[in-house]
Amino acid sequence: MQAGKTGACIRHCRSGDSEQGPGVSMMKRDVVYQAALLFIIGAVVYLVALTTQENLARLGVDSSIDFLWKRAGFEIGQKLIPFDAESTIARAFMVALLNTLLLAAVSIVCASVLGAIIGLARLSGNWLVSRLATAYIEIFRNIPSLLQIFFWYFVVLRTLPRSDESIEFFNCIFLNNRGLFVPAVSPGQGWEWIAAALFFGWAMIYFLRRQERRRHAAAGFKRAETTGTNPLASWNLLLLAGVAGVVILVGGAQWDVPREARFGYRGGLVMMPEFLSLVVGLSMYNATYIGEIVRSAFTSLPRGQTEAAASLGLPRHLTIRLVLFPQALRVIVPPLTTVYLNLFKSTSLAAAIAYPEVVSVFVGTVNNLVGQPVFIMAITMAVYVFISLCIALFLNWYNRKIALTVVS
Amino acid sequence: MIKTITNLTYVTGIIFLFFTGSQITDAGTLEEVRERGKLRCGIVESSPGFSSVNDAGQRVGFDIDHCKTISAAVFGEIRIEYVPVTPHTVFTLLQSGGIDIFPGGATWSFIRDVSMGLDYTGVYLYAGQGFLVRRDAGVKSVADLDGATICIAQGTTLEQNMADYFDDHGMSYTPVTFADMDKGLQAYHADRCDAFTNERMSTAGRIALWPDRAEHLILDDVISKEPFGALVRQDDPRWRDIALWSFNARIAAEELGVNQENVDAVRENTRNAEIQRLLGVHGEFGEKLGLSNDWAYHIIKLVGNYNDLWERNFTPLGVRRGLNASWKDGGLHSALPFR
Amino acid sequence: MSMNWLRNNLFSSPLNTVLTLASVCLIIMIGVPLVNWLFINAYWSGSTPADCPDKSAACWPFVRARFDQFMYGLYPEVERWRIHLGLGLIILAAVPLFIPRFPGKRWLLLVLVIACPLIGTGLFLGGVFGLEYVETGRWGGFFLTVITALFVLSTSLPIAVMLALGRSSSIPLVRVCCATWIELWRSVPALVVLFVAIIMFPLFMPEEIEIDKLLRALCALTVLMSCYMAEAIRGALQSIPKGQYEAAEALGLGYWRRTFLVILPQAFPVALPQITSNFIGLFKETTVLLIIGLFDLLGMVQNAASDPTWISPGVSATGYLFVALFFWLFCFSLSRYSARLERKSLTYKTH
Repeated sequence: MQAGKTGACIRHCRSGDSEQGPGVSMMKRDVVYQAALLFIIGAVVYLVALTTQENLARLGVDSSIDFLWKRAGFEIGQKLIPFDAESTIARAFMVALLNTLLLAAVSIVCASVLGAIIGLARLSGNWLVSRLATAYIEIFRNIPSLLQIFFWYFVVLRTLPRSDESIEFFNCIFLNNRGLFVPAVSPGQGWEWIAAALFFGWAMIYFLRRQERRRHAAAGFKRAETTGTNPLASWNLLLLAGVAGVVILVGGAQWDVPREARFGYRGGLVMMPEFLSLVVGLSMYNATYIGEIVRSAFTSLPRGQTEAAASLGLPRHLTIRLVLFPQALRVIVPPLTTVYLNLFKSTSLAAAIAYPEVVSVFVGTVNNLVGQPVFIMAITMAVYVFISLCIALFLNWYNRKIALTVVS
Repeated sequence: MIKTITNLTYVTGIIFLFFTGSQITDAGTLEEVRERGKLRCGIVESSPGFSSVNDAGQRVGFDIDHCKTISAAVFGEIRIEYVPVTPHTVFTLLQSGGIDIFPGGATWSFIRDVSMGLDYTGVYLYAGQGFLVRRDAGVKSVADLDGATICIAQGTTLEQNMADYFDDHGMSYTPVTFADMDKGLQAYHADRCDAFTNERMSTAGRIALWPDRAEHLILDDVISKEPFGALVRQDDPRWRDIALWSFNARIAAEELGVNQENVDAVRENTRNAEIQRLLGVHGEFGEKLGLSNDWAYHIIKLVGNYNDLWERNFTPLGVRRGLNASWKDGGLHSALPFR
Repeated sequence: MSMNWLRNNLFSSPLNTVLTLASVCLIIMIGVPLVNWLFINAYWSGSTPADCPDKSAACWPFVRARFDQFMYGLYPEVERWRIHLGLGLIILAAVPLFIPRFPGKRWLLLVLVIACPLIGTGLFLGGVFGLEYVETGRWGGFFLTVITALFVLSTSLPIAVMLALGRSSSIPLVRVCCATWIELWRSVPALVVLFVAIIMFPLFMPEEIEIDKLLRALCALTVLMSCYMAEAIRGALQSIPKGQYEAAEALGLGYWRRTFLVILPQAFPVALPQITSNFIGLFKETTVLLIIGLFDLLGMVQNAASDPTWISPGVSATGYLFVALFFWLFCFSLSRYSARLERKSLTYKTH
């Protein structure tokens, strides 16, 4: 990820010298070192590969990746794409991967929001609020996240009512010990209309933003000042939701409302208790880190910024939004990358409770089913490395982007 | 260059240290066990009736007694290193020799026997997958479970059995899949699921002490037959024989009327030729296995016959022998003859 | 005076007043049930399930009944003096490391690195000097947590130093290899690394060699931790002014002597806060061991709480609270220590 930064004082000092006399012998030695390293790595890899092959042959395990296209023969509790026992193992893997991604995405959003609130609360002039935020951070960051997840799952889940005594909201949202049941738009007739409407809404927003930007440019503002401070920004979501809502109401899309069945509620969108406790546990734990990042980012800003904004007559909330936040963001993003990566990796803790994500389904169920540890572990590791890399690359790109905006 | 060589020497030294830190063994499992002085027995932690820790901190249970059986046969005394395993690790540990035997309730299935490099050593328990439900749920048989949420543990044939059964009968269900049985039961107890499915015997064992046991019901239906056998590695037929015949000795002892209490008396007084062969009075049966001739005597003396095991481990949990009775009583266990 | 303070800090504006009131509401909403649960409805005396008739209240008899298991796992009772002795020795030897200006720290560290494995295998595992052999399957509870953390810390540090040096080396291949290795393990969850160790390691090794399960898990954590620590140390290496390298070079010191005599002694204090926070992370990460069937403190409690005779929400909650307190005390004090180190190193830098 950060190979580019590899630094190097040691390297620089040395390369400076190597232009003079002793440089030649040094380079020779470098070559020897590299050859030796290459040899050792090659030997180790070869030996390990050889022993593994020998072991597998001895054990009568015929290693082959074909198992991916065999019939799965088991069910998965939460699936975002259609899946049943007749599907292939490869599809089971996709289902598990999507579950991992969903968990990671939702937890990251929740942790960020909660973390931002906690971080700002710590900076609050209100003594009680900042103390509460400090207490929150000190308590929750020093308790292992797995323990927190267990607490939410095995303790809090139990205090939720049984299915027949569910907590109801508006007669269509139900909360009980089987999860949170919310109405869903059934993927029936109205589906494509909503997709179209959302696309239309997005296109409209894009168009309006461009207009706005052009207007600002004409008025002589610099580009930097318009990005992120688009007066329309807060309207965007509303617009999107509005357009989609109109289509849903007019277009006659079907709502799938959870209804009581023989065993608890059926239909609608179900959030498993495992999912909920993981999201709560992971977000609350990681929010402490994000809170600290946000706080230190804001405290690192020069005091002059606040004073200058105040002298311009900007009210406090605008000062935060327009002056402090864009600057703080630049300091926030690099350490935030680490937190997001950690959060993504800790979604694997779901294997400890019954949320069907990659480790649980693939390393657990599938490995027991087909007994192909080599391929299964390789695929699992590759997936984690790949996604971690994607998250890191995306945030690095974002970091560069916001940094550039300020420079220009 | 000299520096490189010194460095290489260091590396070799480190690798050597690393290797000597682990144990180096050779060939046959029996010799390996003897040399080590301990039997490495894979067990599943905390499965009442099968394997649990009593108040005195000792391991007890049906599976533990299997470990003791093998140890008694090999050493004539109990010398065991228990290695806790999980469904994730057990097969690989066996394959790699991390444990010598795993008597922890693994179903004898084609795939495991044929393609995983493992061998079974006879059926020691006829089990079956069943369902645990709440009495107030109004479920009378498995057919009533259409649409239910079902808690299940990973790592055995349970998941496939259930998928196959529900598929065959055109029923649907939502699985909640846990890595181990305890968490699954804990979640079921917390009403996370409408039913819990596992092997009926171990379910009965685990819930026997629930304060609210009376509110739960184990359905009579069995959706699969689960013949349990202890697992050993495939590449050591001698070791497999030892395990198979050690287990068989207990069943034979029951059929022949020898038990833990009367074994000494019977050994001295019996005229029955098969009992004499079994207990090592005549015939060199032990030696043929590479053991001492009184190997089976030690088993009966230290662990007991099959009925002793049952009385000790399952009777307190209120589980009757049923299919696991001797063939003389209408069950399925029948001893292979000692001759 | 106090009225003034209240006005300035809690009720300075309408928004602030609302926030204060909301906070007070929050405290009452969480605090009252908590105090009720923890103190008023809780059961304190006894040590059997019958002593906790109300299934939802806090049940301290549970912790009392299983306290030994939480601490030592299934380690035989008569052999527990070995744990006390061993950990006592390690702590006694390690304390001077945290005292500033204690002479000969480096030698002490060396002694520790050599002595710890000896204590671990000789005393804890036994089988030598007439001590009974206690297999690692019986290790557990807080003992296992501490052993894991200490072992991994002491093994991963030297590896981390080598990796950090490798990653900032001038030899391209060494640099690339170290960087790849570090980034590979850093982007995989600890749980997956543990599974690799448990499932794959035996396949990588020749048939004759078997490595204990706990040792395998420890190796996995060492690999992981050394990569994190390496990054901490690399960061510190970068912060060493260039002049230090040049000065050392001018004295005619070779690479190894320059690194170990000049650079690392300076880099280590700078890296220490980061290393401490990595260690805290490791300490919390040990709970993952329960997923692969090794019963650390949390695993032991989780196991005991699913005991049919105890099973109840109150028991689980009490058990978790007990573990949480343990971890919290340890991690909090360590993080305070690390914060103090950081402040110190900051003041050092500004001089």
